[in-house]
Amino acid sequence: MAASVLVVDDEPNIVLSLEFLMRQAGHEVRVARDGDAALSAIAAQVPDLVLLDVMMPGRDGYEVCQAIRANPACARTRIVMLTARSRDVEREKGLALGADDYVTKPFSTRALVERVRALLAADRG
Amino acid sequence: MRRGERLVGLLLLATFLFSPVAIGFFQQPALVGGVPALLLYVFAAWALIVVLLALVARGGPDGEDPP
Amino acid sequence: MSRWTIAAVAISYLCVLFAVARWGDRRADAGRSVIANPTIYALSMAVYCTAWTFYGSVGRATANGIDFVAIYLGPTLAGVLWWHVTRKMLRISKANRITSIADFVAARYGKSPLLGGLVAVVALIVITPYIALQLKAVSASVDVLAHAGSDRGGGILGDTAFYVAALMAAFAILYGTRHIDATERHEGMVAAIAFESIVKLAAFLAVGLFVAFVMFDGPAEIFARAAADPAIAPLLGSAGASGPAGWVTLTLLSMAAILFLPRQFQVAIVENVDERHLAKASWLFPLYLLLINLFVFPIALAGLLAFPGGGVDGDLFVLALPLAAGATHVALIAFVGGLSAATSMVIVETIALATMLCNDLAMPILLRIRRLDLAGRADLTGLLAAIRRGSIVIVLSLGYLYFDLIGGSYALVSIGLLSFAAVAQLAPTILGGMYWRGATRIGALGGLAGGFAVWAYTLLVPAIARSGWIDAAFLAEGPFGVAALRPYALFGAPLGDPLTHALVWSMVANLGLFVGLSLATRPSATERIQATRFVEAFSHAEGERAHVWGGQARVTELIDLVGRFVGQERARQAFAAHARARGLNPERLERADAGVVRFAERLLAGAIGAASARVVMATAVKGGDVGLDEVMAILDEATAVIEYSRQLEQKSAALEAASAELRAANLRLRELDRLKDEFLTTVTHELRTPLTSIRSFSEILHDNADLSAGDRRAFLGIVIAESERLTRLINQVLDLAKIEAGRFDWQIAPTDLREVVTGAIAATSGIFAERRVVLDAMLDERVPPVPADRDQLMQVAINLLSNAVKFSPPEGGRVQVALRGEGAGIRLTVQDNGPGIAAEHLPLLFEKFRQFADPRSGKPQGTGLGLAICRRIVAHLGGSIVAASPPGEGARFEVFLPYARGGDLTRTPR
Repeated sequence: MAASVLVVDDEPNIVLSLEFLMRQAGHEVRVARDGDAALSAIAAQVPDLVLLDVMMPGRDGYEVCQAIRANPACARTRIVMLTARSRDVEREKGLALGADDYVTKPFSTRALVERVRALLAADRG
Repeated sequence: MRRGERLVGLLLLATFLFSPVAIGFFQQPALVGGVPALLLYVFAAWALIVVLLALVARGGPDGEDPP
Repeated sequence: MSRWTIAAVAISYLCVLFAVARWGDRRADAGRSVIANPTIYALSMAVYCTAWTFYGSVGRATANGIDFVAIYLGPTLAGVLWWHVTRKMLRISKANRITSIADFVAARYGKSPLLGGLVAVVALIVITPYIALQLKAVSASVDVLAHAGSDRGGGILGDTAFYVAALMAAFAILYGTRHIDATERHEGMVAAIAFESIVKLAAFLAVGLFVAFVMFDGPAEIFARAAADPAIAPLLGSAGASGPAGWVTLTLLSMAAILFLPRQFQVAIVENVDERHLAKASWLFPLYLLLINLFVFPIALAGLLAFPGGGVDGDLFVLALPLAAGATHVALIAFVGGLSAATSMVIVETIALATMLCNDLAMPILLRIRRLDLAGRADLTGLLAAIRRGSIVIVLSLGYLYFDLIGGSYALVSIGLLSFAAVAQLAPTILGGMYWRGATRIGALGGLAGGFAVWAYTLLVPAIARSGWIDAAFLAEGPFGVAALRPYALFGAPLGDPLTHALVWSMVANLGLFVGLSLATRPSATERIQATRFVEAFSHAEGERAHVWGGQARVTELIDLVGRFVGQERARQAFAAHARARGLNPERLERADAGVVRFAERLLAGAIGAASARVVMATAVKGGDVGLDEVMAILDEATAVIEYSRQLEQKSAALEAASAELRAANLRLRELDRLKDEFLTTVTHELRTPLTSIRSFSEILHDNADLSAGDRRAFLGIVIAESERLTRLINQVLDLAKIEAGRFDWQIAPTDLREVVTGAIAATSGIFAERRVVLDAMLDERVPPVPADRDQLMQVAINLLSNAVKFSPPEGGRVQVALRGEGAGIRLTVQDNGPGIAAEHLPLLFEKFRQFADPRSGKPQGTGLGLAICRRIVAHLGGSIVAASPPGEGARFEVFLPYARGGDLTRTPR
């Protein structure tokens, strides 16, 4: 059964590439361009996994991550944070807020696809 | 360095020569060579210190900053 | 002798003095200094020998035998100490541009205006009687001379002291306030003082030789006759009525006096040209003292032999003996010698006091009165000179008044010793401050206040009482009959003569409070810094520590600030010399680093004293983004950190307290670090974003050979667009960095703005067409060329145009471009009819990485650096750029470029 993935990023071209990669990996993909859009998309239908950019105008990735973790309906939702900032503190902050993985931009597409697959497989197994 | 030490020595000498202890020896109205002993002593000691000061001050280039 | 003759002689002598001073100043102006000479330096120190020496020593010898010598043995002992103590004072004073003894104390204890003011006030109180004493001596000597003659009239010249005081004021004003920078030497004055020293020595020796060899048959005859006279003989073996304690007291007091009297500080420290002169002066000056005292005792004995029965005051034997022998010309020589001794003291003391009153009393108060806004005024040199001149007149007027009111009641030497005892109160504060790092401001205040209070009670009040101004019973029975509080026998202590008694008790109070309070209080950061600079004056080579600190103060502002006090031209030269000395190009020095800031404060200190300089630096430059307060705070903290690490190595006792403040300083440093980091992080983020798209699509293209031709084309298009974005960003970051570092290669040439704007319109015509935005261009036919960098200006115009397009509405977009000459320059306006800019965003618009969302995509466009670069380009060209957005009218950007720019920008910096 196809897993549902929500891609959240404010850079149109990055969204485009992530959408392509996730679809190619056989997932159902929805897209949100900012934090608020992401939260309403999740309210409409809980995804299996969220690819979440950190630096976004308005509500940023950390806030969205917190909101997801606060929502009991999303208990099984996996979160992979994407960021162009690479400092360790930020990585720790993301993980502390409940993210399952943390990927630094620019990323290897193959590695990203593999990590998403592994997270979703672990979930089912 | 040497100059600083010499001056400390000179200070001790001057302090003694000008002290009431040393002066006390000459506090008598006697004349030595027609000059009051006390006056003679004071000016002689004074002149000695001035001469020594001049010698130390000209003591060459070994005077440097104290440590 | 007629008073007219005496007046003629006195005035002729003073004219010679003026001439010598004028010659000294001329030579100094011509660069051939007369005072850059150790002999002149030693002679100028002989200002120590006042009328008190000239007349009073003999008087004292008639009563106390040889104990007057102790007053000169003290300075001789001090001469031995010079190499250690005075040399250190010199180093400290030069490094800190100290202007007076009060300034020295204030600077040591955290540039405290309170301490400086206290010392200045006390000095004024203490020195006024001393000046009065000189006037009294001159006046008395005129009386003696005139009474000897037939003419007893002379109403006009009846008040000799008044005329002497007036002439001295004129001299001090003429030669003591030529330069505002008090560390600037008063060469003329020093030359005159050295000249006076020669005159008074020669005069005294002349009188001595006359008395000993003409009136008597050599000194031996005087001594022999004295020894034979039972009334005089005991004097020959007497070292003072007050015994060993009195002798030690005199020696110690005179040691303190030679080090700390304001006039001695003035000639020995402030007027010093070269530290090496100290070596020769350290024996030449004691030699001078020895010579001038050689005939004191013989003259005293001769006087006692010549005037048996005490009919003539011993203080005036120097005049009375030649007169009695009918040698009026010798008496006149003696009179001129006494006059020179009195005038030299009055001149130097007055100038030293005036500097103190101005820098440590008047300026700190005036600077604190906000209403006057003194620090904000354009030129203060005139005001400073006026205050100094006013102070000179005040000091001399006070001296004259004191002389007129109570001066007549006391012997010469007593007034002098009263002053010496007060000056000695400075010893713990100053010596403690130079050798003990732990001495604090509170300790110094307590010590000085306590010492002066006891001094006033045990010496000053009794002196006033003896003048009959207070009931004399107060002396014998104590206030309200409390015997324990008798001023001459506090707590009934058997301490011998009043002077020793006063010295012991005042030092007990002074040292006790100084040490006790210093141990009980903690010094502030500034105090600690100053303590280190003073205590380690020999090991600190000033300015050698490299301060790497990106300050905010501009050098031009500092020059302007200092210039208000010392004159603009001098300030500019001083800064240029400073920059050259540090191997920097003065033209390129824009931001003031810690070294420059400290240099500026020192320059100010030279003009108005350390405490006032501190106040000026703290209050004068405020507002704007300068934050001199912050500059000073950071400086202090940085130095405090250095100071701490040194202390930590030495002792771990203060570890607890030190580490707390160290943490605070560290926190600040980290905050500065964080701001720098922020920029780097933002740049990195901006670079990674396009890179992410490029890499993703490249890998997708690489891994998926089976993509449709349409997808492939679209993806490659994205890669190309994002690469372009990356290139643009890198270029802009580099441009910005270059502009900010001042390394941008500007190609400044007369530029036709119309041609630039037309070019920009052509370059952006593509996106105008694409977005279907209409462009209205209203360009003046002919505009005069402005000096500018054509390419950079083109970038500004393109940036504004493409921004306008971006923010134009999708339908009916319209952008208006206007270019017109306006007054002193040309104005370029770009107006769109988009949604405009929110008012809260306007102030941040030109900041780096301030992106505002494109109303259509909701996504910020561009790099966020465009407008930041525009502002810097326009600012470099001497122009301005502003944005406005009245509600409902879209956004309007206006660039104004002047035809003429600041002089220093016309060249192209490399």
